[in-house]
Amino acid sequence: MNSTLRDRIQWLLKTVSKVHSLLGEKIPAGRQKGMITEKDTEHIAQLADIAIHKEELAAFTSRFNEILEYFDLLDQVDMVENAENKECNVLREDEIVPSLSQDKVLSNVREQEDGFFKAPRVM
Amino acid sequence: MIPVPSIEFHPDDRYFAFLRTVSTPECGQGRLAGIPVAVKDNISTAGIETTCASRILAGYIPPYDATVVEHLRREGAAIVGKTNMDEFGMGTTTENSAFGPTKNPADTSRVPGGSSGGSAAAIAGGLVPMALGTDTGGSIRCPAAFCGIVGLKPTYGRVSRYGLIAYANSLEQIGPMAGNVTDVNRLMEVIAGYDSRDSTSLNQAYLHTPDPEIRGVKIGVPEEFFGEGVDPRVASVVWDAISMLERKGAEIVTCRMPSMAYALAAYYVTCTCEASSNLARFDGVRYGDPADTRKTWHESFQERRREGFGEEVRRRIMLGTFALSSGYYGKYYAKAQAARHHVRADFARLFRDVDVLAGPTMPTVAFRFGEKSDPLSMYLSDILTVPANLAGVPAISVPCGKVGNLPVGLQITGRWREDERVVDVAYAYEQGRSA
Repeated sequence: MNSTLRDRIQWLLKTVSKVHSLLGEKIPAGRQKGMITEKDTEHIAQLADIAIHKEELAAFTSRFNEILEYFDLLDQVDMVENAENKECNVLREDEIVPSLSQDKVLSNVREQEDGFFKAPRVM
Repeated sequence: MIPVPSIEFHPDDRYFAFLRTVSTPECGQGRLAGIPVAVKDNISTAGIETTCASRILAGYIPPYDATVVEHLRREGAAIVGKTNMDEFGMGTTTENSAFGPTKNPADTSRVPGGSSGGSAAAIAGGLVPMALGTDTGGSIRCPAAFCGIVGLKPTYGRVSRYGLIAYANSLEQIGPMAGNVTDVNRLMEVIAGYDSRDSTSLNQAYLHTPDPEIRGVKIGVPEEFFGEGVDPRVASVVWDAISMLERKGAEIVTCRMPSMAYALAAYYVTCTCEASSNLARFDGVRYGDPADTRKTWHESFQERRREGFGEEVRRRIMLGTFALSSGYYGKYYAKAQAARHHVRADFARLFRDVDVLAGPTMPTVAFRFGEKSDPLSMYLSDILTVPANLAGVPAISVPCGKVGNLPVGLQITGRWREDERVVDVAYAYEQGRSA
């Protein structure tokens, strides 16, 4: 299989799983109960923007699986309508109140330029 | 002019309760004039380094005070230092501090509990009479129980969270810790009240004189509070305490709380999900050691966050990220919120018949260092404290005896907004015990 075709299939699979998750929140195959793989752990670390070293993967994965297996207790919970907060937002008038000065806001920054935070490049 | 009271504070910190102390603490006039107060290190103190016991915040000096700290200063308290904790509040032992564990003054081979272990040890070790802690799933009550002091987790919203470095917003509260109920009450009077800067703040002041009258108070004792995992020696000490309240005139009613079966799972799903979002702000751009600006955004952040966060913090951020990821939201977060609804419903049902609930604060006495090295078994020890956070109701831990030389806590949980009543029942117990 050439790499373009593989990419397209992967894209298709991703799209399908996304649609599934939007429709019925289907749990991806291979994790009905308990099991995530080291590859999953690597992916989660990516999503969370936390680097994970190869030698840490096994330990993190097995801990995750123990904990996720415990979380399966939630399968027995009956869903309730509107269990998530029923409160609605109460908006206030947008009044200008005193806030921190620019100097104070920048007081903990190690790298700044012309009164701005200096961040890594995006591209 | 009235002279400023002198402060008595001798930081002989053999328990490593403090991450840092203030060399010349200032104080003034007011309800806490001259009283040394310790503040947990996740509460912002203008001009005093605040790290959440994490390397990622080392060197961070807040440019403003948390509302509770403003209140302390206004009432003349002397802020004498910042106390050790599990990194970002994630733990039950204070062993997860990036700067080393705190020791339990009752037995230095054991943990003080967590995550507010430094605050509890500072009080139990006689360094300060009172301290602020925070409680997301038991972090005030657990160390209070393990160290033999009093700690109150207030009703969600009664104490402003403005300036508290967030871990799990929908669960956590700042609360008072002290050597006795009277001092907990005094500190609560100062820190509670409405704050427009906290959008979840309740408009309800706390002005209260503890009342030891227990006659006619109905106390519910859910069977589940003495369920699997509760050390029989702890259970026996707590039952003695409940019997004492009965002899003083309280009515004891046994009851059931079925949602306890999944409350802990619901708690850990909720707090890790909220943590994954809250801790996304720690990227080395606005504070702490800088991110490497020569690298790309993601490379730089990923490395900074791997170096800056401890293992448990990384685990919880990743668990939360996973639970919220596409395909799993319904299985974890949505179910956890449904479970949370059932916990609230259980409390509402029980509080129609009884005024408060009583049971042990912790299933065991303080652990030895290293005893809870696997995360799940550490999580399981929070089973008795998390329901109050899920429901937002007040709960207090008051010392009620010992197993050997190790303190045991009696937990009193009350109706939403009835913090005064849990304080009264704890006070009745404390008075009855010393009588």
